[in-house]
Amino acid sequence: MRPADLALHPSPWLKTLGPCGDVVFSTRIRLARNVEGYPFPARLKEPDPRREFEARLAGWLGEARPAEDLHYWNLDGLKPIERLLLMERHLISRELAQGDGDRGVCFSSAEQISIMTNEEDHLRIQVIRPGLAIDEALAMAIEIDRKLETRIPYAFDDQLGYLTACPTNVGTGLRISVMMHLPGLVLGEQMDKVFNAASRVGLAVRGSHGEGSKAVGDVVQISNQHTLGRTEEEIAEVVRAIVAKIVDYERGVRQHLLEESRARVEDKIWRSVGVLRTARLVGSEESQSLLSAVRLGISMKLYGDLRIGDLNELLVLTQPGHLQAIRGKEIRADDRDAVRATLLRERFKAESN
Amino acid sequence: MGCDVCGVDGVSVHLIEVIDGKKREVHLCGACADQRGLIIDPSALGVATKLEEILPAAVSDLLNTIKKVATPDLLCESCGHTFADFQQQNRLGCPEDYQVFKSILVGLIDKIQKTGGTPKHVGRVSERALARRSRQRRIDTLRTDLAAAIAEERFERAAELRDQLECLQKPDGQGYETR
Repeated sequence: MRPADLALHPSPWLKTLGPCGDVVFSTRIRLARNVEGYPFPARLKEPDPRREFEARLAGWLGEARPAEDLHYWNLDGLKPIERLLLMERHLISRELAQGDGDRGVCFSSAEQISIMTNEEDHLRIQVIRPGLAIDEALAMAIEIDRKLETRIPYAFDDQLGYLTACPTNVGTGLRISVMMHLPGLVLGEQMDKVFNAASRVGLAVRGSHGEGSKAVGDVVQISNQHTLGRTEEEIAEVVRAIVAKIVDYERGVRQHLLEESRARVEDKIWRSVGVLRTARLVGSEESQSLLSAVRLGISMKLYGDLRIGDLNELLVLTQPGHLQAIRGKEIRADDRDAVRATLLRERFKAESN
Repeated sequence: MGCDVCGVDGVSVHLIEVIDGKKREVHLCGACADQRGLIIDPSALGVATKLEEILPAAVSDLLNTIKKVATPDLLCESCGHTFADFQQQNRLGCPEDYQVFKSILVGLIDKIQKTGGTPKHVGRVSERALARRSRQRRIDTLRTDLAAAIAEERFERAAELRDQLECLQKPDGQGYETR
């Protein structure tokens, strides 16, 4: 199997509606770890020392068997489309997708566990769960970390904790990111509530691909910025409390919109459905925002032909890497809009009412 | 103007050093100056004689640490990363850098991580660090016992203890493969 084959099947967990699934897409835990005695990846000289070290990491991952059913890929051996595909599925970061040289990822077929090698740090352990599931995801990540440590001598300092390439990750090396769908707050022009609530407790609000990415389709990612001087549980508690609050805001606004501006919301949703059913060219951002409106419509029970899980899948399948991987070749941006429109028309026509 | 140590705007302490006619200036923000004991309690300034005694030593000590600390060519021998590289890339070169640049990094990390003065990891501890700590404790105990055995002229016991110590102090006695 090649990673490109993944495109035919969206990540298995996407269809599952996790806790607070009407507002929360997914919870992601990341642990940054490094190996004592080796330069950080950016300073590992290409090609030989980096290549040897990548092979060593891959070997350790094989020996430690931190989870069942993990497959390792060296990114250098993958096609650009395949890298993009893995990034769209959040199995690798943008930095790993766009980087160069020896670097890799191993992930499970359930696509909930992925371990990146030679990203900014030697190892980035990642666990994704549908919905709001910080505790479960954190427990899984720690379990993997423990198993890896049986083989890998981690760089650790008694005062500063796990040592990382960037001092912003030092200590626990823990980043908790909760991906949220907030169309109600965007429509009600109340996103400043989210920014205020998050920044007061030191959390960051970003677009769906992390630092520097845009918030498209009413999707934002809430994550902790501080990794040192707090325990993993304390960090989790802060994120959990704010996310719960934002979930409440979002549900409240949706309810309010339904009561006060039902026609306006219905109009927005059905116009979106109209475009998705009929358009011949749909751009990437446009499709995200149309699908966002439909996802809102489903959660408000204003549209019933598809389920939230279907929309989660469509949001990934319509991204450039997936469209190209499904076709098995590179497609120019203009042509991609046509391919995307065709895919969307089929999905929205099939269950026509 | 930015602080020479952490780069933050708003310098509140200026130090000027003249050695052999060469002038060197160091500008620090309040936090970095405070951390290095440079903010002097004004009440102490009342006692002139005492100030005479304290100040020269304090200042030269300080300049020494700052010189060592703020030097862009401060170099990590393991990876070749200099402090200037770190300032430019915002990334360290290897885990060892944390030791080499520690005096300056600690203040910076405190600011970035908002740890309220002293950055201290309180999260999970690596198994290896735990093993290292318990090994160190055993070494300390063995050393005390060894000294006692020698003092009491129990040389057979001392030899046993010395062997145990040597065994513990071997670099790869931790159950990890050697590299």
